[in-house]
Amino acid sequence: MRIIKGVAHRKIDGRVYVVDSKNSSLHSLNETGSYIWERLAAGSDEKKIAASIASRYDIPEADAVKDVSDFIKKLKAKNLVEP
Amino acid sequence: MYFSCIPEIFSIKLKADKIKRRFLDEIREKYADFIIEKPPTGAGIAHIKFEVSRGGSVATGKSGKHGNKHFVFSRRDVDFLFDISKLTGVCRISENIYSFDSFMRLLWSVMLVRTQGMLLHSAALTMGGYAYLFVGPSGAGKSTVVKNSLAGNFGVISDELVPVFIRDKKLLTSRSPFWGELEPVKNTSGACFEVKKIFFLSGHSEALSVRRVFQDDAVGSLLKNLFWVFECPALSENILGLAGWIYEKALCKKIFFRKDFIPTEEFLNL
Repeated sequence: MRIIKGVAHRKIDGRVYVVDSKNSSLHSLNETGSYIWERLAAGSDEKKIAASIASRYDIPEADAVKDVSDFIKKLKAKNLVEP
Repeated sequence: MYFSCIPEIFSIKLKADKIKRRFLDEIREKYADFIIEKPPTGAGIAHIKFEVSRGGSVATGKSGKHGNKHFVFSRRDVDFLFDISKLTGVCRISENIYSFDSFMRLLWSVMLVRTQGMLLHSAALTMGGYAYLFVGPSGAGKSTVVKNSLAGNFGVISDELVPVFIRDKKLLTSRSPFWGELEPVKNTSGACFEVKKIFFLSGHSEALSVRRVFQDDAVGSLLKNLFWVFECPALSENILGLAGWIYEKALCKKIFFRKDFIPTEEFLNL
């Protein structure tokens, strides 16, 4: 999964803001969303991101996989990421 | 024709071909405060080849084919292609001052955004060397605030659209050729003012109230109110960076006000 060309982002005071340049929409991500986004931007895949979330927040890996997958589905629905 | 827009940021060299004298005079009159006789020097000079059409649409329909290097805007009366890295462009507009004004807004906006600035839908008052911005969309009360303040000891930068930019870790604004309801106030000084506060015009209420602005609100309100039509990721990142910087400097407040609200020096410096 990768960030769609034309989507810009910036981390401001610990929170990632994403702008879709095509329609000027602004999305503000929470702490976990910001972490996932930054990992996606760095080229990490869904599996690796879930593993690092599980260890970072001390949660079962299965829960992390579901959380990351749900979040990425939302990003896809908003046309911010693509396979 | 040469324009000194914001000397610290940018100026414009407009090479006009086959333009009627009457139309050039109209441009000279509207932009009188910004037109200079000698070619500008230094960095940030936009070189624009400029043409006018006297009939039909000028649109080439290339809008949307943007990248990080080019800005393209095309509608019925303005067709503008600008190379952001070389600062060169071609513009073709219908022969009327409103189309020229639209082109200038686009050019000001892109020149500001490329250097940590933006063109903001805002009224701006000055006092004691500082500027106070009242940000909001059309109908939010920008002109009302300016009209109400005219009796006071304020300078006025604009009631509609003002440039803001960072210099020496300060947020500055300067004169604007873009006005809304009010007649432009003549200003040839080219002076810059440090922005001391940004008030988001958040609606009318019986009593004046000023509230804290949280991060999402500040970034969202700045982005919602900037003059911005770019589909360019690099410029979008610049804008996000500037919005974040402005939030972190704690310059923003929300204001609810009565229609007869008169800004006072005490209020502005609360």
